[in-house]
Amino acid sequence: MAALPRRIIKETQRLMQEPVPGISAVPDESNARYFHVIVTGPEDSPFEGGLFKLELFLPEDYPMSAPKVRFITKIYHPNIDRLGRICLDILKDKWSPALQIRTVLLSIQALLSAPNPDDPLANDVAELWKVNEAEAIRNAKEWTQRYAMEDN
Amino acid sequence: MEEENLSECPICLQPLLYPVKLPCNHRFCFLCIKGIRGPTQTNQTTKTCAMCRQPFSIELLEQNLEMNLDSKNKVFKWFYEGKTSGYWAFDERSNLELENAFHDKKDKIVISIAGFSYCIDFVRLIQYPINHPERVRKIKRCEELNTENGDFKIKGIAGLRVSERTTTTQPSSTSSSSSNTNDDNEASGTGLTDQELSQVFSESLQLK
Repeated sequence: MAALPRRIIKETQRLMQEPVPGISAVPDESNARYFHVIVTGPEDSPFEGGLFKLELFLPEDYPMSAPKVRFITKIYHPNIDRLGRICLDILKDKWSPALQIRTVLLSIQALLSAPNPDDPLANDVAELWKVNEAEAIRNAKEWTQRYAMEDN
Repeated sequence: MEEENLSECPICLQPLLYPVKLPCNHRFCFLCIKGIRGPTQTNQTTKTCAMCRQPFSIELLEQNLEMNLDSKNKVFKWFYEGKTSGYWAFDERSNLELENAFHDKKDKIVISIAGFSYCIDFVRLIQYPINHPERVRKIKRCEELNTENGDFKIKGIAGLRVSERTTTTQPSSTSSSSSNTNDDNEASGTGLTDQELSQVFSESLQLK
């Protein structure tokens, strides 16, 4: 593996020095491009109270291409599939190298507050979210209780 | 949130190197903005600004260089006064920070050199350690080509005496005496020959 670019070193230092409230991202001991992430469920969302684990990987050509991010904790959300893959434009065609780990994780946290069933990744979840939002939200709360609590 | 730093490139998070200003007024290093991927694999002549996504043509990049990379290769170097005589050139990284802040028309900036913070005052053309504002030294900005025939003695770079580089057996006075790169170990205080100067500059400034 090539030397760690100064941009990654600087981003990591800043993440440690000025952590984002509700988000923690810690580089792996053996791979500085792999981050262990925990995002807290936003207030007033069905994910409130949950602690969601994610993995984030900075590819070789980062920041020219987007980080790879995936939920490890199971989550009931129309834009996140059962493998934890996330449907978010800035992780795909709307990526910009001026975005950072910090901004990506904030966007993911915002996605938890604002599910978008019209651009679904998990089709069954999105369908229910559209036809019976109350039940979908109940499911999301239940999954949060079952999978995203600290003692799990 | 971190404060916005106008002389930092938002892509590499380093001081701007060969700054380019896009039509939308966002600034990047030439290489950083050149390296971003276009919206499609096939069309790489149009890209979008990394900050605001406004499209721009990559043909514009070279015309929008803020530096003068013309045939005369006008490159400016910054120097600070030695303790007793002559001037030291700033190291290349600090020089870049100074040059960018100067172009941003800042009154003063604080830069970190080897863990010490120095205030660079562009109005009074002085520098001092922020913990010791009484330790004032003059600073100068000169076109690189002029320094070779300059009317002031240049001793080396950031306390590294250029004349000592050739005598490798002699222990360097800069390694043990002080951790402060801006410290000035006065020995002979000799100026540099044109040949030594061109050696310094060819090592530190390799512009295409």
